[in-house]
Amino acid sequence: MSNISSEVEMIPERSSKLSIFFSEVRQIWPLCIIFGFFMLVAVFAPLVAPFDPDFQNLMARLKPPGTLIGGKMYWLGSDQLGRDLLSRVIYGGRISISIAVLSVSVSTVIGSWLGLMAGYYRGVVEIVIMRIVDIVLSIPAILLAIITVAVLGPGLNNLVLVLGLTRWPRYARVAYAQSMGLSKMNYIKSAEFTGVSVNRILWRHIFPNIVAPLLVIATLEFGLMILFEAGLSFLGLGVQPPTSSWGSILSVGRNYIGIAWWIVTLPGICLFLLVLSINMIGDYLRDRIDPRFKKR
Amino acid sequence: MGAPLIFEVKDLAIAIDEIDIVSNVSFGLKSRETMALVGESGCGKSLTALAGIGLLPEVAQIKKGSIYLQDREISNLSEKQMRSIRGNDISMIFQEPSSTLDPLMTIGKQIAEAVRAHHDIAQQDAMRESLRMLNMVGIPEPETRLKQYPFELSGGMCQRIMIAIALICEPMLLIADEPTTALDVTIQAQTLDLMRSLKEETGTAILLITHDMGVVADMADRVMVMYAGNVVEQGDVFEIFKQPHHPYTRLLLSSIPHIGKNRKEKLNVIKGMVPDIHNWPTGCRFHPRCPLADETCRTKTPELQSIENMDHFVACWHHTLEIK
Amino acid sequence: MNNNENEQNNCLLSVKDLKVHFPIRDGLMGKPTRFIKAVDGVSFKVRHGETYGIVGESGCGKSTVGNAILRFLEPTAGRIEFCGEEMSSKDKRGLQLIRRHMQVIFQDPMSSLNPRMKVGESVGEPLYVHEKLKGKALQSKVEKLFDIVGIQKKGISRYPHEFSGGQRQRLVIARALSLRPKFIVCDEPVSALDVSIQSQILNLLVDLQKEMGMAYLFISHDLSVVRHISDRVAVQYLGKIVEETTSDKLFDSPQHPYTLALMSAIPIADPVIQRKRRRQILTGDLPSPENPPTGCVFNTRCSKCQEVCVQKQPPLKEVSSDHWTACHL
Repeated sequence: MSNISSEVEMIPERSSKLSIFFSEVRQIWPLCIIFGFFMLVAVFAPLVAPFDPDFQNLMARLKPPGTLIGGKMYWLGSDQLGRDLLSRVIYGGRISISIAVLSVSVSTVIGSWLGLMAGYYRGVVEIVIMRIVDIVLSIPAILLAIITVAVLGPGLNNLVLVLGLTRWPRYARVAYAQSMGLSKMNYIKSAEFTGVSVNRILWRHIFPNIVAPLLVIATLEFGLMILFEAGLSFLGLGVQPPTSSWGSILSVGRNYIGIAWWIVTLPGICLFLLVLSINMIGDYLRDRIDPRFKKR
Repeated sequence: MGAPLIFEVKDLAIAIDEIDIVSNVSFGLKSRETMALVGESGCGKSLTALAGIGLLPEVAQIKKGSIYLQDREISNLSEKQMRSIRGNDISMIFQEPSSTLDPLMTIGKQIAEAVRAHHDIAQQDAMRESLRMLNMVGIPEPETRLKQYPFELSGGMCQRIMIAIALICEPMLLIADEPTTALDVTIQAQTLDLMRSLKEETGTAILLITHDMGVVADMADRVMVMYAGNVVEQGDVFEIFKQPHHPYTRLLLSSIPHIGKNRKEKLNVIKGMVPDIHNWPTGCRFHPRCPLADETCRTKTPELQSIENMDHFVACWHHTLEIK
Repeated sequence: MNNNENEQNNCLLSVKDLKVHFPIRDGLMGKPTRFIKAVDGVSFKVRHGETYGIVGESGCGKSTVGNAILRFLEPTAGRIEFCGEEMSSKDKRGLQLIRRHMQVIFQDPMSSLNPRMKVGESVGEPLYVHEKLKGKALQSKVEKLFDIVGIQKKGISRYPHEFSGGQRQRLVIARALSLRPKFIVCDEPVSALDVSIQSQILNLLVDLQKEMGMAYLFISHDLSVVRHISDRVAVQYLGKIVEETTSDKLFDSPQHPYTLALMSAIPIADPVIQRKRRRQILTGDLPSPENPPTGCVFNTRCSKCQEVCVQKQPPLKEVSSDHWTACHL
């Protein structure tokens, strides 16, 4: 091939992906530390918790934070059955966070997939899926939880199911709007014209371009799932004893709020900090991604 | 030479976050004169225009220099003082007429609003003025148009409305930022014609920003060619087109495919692309793309100098050399 | 008979009486009664290796013609033949086989490349899909394509936002060339670029055609650009072709009043000439394509309009050798 262009275009250098990541983290480092702290504690619970969370010591009932018994420190005090609150909060956090992660995963997968289909295929697919979205959105989550518990019985798995199944429409709507907008993009038209398979168009062309807002929603939903789980467990519809999550700790603790405020307050503060940090990270992500999204 | 300058910019420099975006801009305009600010994207022409009307974005600041409106310095006025000037003494029209008109207000009301912002007259009188302007800009069936909304009108008509709004208070200066770029070429011809005839009537000077050398040849009395934030050539339009001196101007003129040239003959190109503001080249900012560049160009920034004492200035170390 | 046969063999694309009417839905039920006649009877032929330009202003339907040929939308009527094969009635399968030899370049370089895909992968995708190339084989072909359009090889692993508009358009061209198409529809390929970049891209397109011999359908509103790159030009107004001839003849002796007005409206970059010109400024606005004028589509704005122009639609007549105009005068 002859030398058609005499000048080869210059492309500027770019910084590595890692340095970009770290420069982003630097902006919100306090939030990342708080969030990271909770996640690490949840993952390494067995190594971090001083006690077995279910170990009952009726001699050490309702002790305030900072009590020393038999050489061992009860940092956050003990609950009505003498169990160390700190260890319960650690393991409870693990449960709460796992539930949040699982349910967000379930709803993200279902919602993104259905929304993607609706936005790309249009027509009947779009109508059917979006009407289902409308229906699910109109059912209050609490009602659905109660029905599910009534039908399937309470428990961790069913809780994940309920949470996942009530929240997926939010992802679906965003995925739908985004993928609908994208179908008009020239690179999609080019790909279709060239004969790229529908699968490849959906997963290599459309999905990577709608992931960003979905990620933002997932982050914000994560905090919400923690709260929902806490709420449902508080009502007795979530995890059942002996498993305990922050919600169930709060639920039992409210009976002792007058004499042992730490059982409700301290896990409550942890809940607050975790959800706050996640929400603020999600806000930051949304602000960063949105303008950049438009620029691209 | 005798007529007074109604608008003057002296040594203007604009910076964003400590980075020089525009430097050393100086020019003056007399009544009914049209000055064209030409350059490609990234040359700073729009920022210069926005500075003239006090609408620089928050991140940009006038670092140096002054702007005068009939001997009154306006570059350091407060927002309140600028507001009494905008629309009244200095008006501006933009590229996209559909996005600069309020979609929820009728045409008549929008034009009336422009005049009532500066003159204390009754709504009825303002509407009468609107009608007069619609006639002046050549809109057919003006009475019907008064009650219509922008979406009911074509792009060309919307731009005429913009011109009507801009000229209703008979400003001293009209700043037009790429006013015809988004329009079809036949509508462009109509619009430029309109601007030309109106400025004679109202005595307005025009600062026309464009990237189209044809529009410059059609409208301008004087030209300022900008590249990467610097003025590279400036002067009388006939002089500049007859004998362009700066290599950028010369290459720009020769790279346009126009009806005179032979078909399928290779077009002259300017290799490379406009530099990023974070990476201004040293010395003359055009040197990486200039066929005449040498060591001097890389190290020393050329200043605008007059050629043979005519109204023609160029900033280049080698402007007398021929480009092969 | 012989001439006809030669015509057939030489002809890559043949469009006969193409009509694209968009229905306006006036309510939930019932058949639409109003139509936007975007394209209303357009016919032309493109030969192998030739550049056919369609020029016109916004609303004339030139992009719609391109879209109909590419089958991005369904023509309402008319016959489109590609390499002698009738396209209009083909199903999806048949269409794929024909489309193998066609490609398209759009106006907006920003939206023509997937922002989340490395440009090397974007450019090589047609090869991956059709010739099932992978790994090193694909990489070397992509590198060659980068070379042809003049982009550094290290750009293969970069993303579109790291390139300028002109560079992106080069990448789009590289992708279009990958399957060595016979025919490329260029829909305003340089309109969104700076003037100095436009000439770079136009030069590239001309060079590529000389090397690889494909035909272009070049759609643009910019008469000077179309003139520069096209062999034959059609001027389109409100869905109809009003003049068609070779590029030289069109600019040496334009016949149709609209073509004259169009050329006269283009400002020439020379103030002495420009200000002396006798210009025909078109008055009025483009009529709505929903309700085109009766008779000649141009009669509402034509300075030479006569009685017959309002009554009868002028057919395309050959006014001189290979120069067609649709005008009664």
